[in-house]
Amino acid sequence: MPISPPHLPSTMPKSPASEAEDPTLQLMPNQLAEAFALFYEESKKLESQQANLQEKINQLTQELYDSNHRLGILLNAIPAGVVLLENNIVSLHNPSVLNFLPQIVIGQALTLPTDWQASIAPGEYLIESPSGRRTVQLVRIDEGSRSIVQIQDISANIHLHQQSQQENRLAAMGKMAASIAHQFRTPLATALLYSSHLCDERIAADQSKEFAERLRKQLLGLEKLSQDMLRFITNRPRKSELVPIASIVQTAEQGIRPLCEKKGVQLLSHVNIAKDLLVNVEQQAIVNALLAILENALAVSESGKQITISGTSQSQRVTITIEDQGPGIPQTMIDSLFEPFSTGHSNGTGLGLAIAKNALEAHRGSIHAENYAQGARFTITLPCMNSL
Amino acid sequence: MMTPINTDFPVILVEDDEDLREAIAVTLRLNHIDFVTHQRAESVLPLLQPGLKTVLITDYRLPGMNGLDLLKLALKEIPDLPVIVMTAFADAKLAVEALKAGARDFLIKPFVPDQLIEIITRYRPPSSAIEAMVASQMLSPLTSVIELQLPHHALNDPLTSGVVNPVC
Repeated sequence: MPISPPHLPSTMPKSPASEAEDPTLQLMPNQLAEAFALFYEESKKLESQQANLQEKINQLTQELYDSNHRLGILLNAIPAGVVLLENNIVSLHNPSVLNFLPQIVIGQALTLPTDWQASIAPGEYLIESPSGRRTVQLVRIDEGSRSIVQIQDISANIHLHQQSQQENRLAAMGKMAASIAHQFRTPLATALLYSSHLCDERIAADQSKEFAERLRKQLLGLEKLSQDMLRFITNRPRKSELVPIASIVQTAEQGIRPLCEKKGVQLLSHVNIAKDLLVNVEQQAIVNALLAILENALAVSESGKQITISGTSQSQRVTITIEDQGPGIPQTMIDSLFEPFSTGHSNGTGLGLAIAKNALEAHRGSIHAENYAQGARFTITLPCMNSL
Repeated sequence: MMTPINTDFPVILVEDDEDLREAIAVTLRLNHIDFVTHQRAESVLPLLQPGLKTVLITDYRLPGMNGLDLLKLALKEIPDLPVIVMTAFADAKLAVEALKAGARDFLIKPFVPDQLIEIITRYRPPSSAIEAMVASQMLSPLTSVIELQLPHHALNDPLTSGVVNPVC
């Protein structure tokens, strides 16, 4: 159906142009010249504006080129590797990346070499090579389908950190000179007395045997003390491996259980951690740290009391608590508890908790002690692994 | 005022380390020296009565009250008590501090049995029994001379009568 043209209402006011056939023809020549001059002027203005804009564009283009150039120089010069990923496919990288990932190919997915072992913190890797051991850190920034991955060698930082920690420990040892002398020379005095008696011909054979036993006990104690002292000074994770945290706790439990049974102390375990939750640690160091806390708990527990181990995990961190029903930590000791030789009882080397704290901190974990209604509570935390 | 009594008392040994305490005990036993042992300074305090005659050997580092404080308290009660301070840390400052406070001597750990015995015999006050014994021994030749000269008069010896057997 054809559409009829709109019908103008008769009431619409008539324009002046409608009175003539073609209004433009009605313009006077001077009006035309005027309009043209106006148009010319406006177009001149536009032209100069456009020239200005063009100049600005040129300038900005140059600036962009310069800054790109500078960025390029920078990216080419920095020791860190930078990779640009589009949908996880390598689209660009700087030359330094080749120091870390010599096999990287543009247009393919980014893969990490198999000899990169996950280190103690997420995003950190250990690389063993004939020239030595390096620690590499990977940082990934995602922005939509694009990602930037930065790879850098943090061996020097880690080395510096370890060095300053060791200096702190040596300084602590220096302050403890009197305690160290006491700790070494008391068993030495015992050993010297018994060994002197062994040289005495008047001593009966059965007594000699007993003295020799006691001498041996002192020498073994001194050996443990010197070992602990070395461990305290040079503490750092030697060879870390991925281990289920649940099995570490279990190993520590098995170590202390016979001693608990001997003393009539009940060992309760409420470890609520998935069997496959892994921590990247030097296993023996963490087992020893737990044992040090458990031995401490046992030392203050009377027969019939309980020691409770609990464990939970929460996003990338595991928490293990050990509670005893002893007298609690004396208020005067609560601040210095983890310092060397601060323990109240004279058995043990006085270094157990200090070493435990060092070991946990070297694994980016923590240890904390407090009193609760029934005794003392030790809480330790450790990062658990997530892969990049 | 309390009357000082002349009490003979075993050597007092204060050492918190169980093994060393036992080793010293063995050493003293082998040398027939009477002694009592204490783990802490606090438990020695009741023994410190005026007139106590013995040697006090104390470790410097003890849980609770330390050896130096024990020394000061002991000398307050018994100014002439020989106190020997055992220490593992041969520090000049500590030595001066203890000697100023009245310690008679030092025993630096580790030490051999002879050092321990020597220091005890040097400072242990002669017991009244021994004093009497020595006196009677010195007197007995004299007594016999006098007895020889006065065969019919038993000499009444005020030093030895009722204390020890003058024959020994």
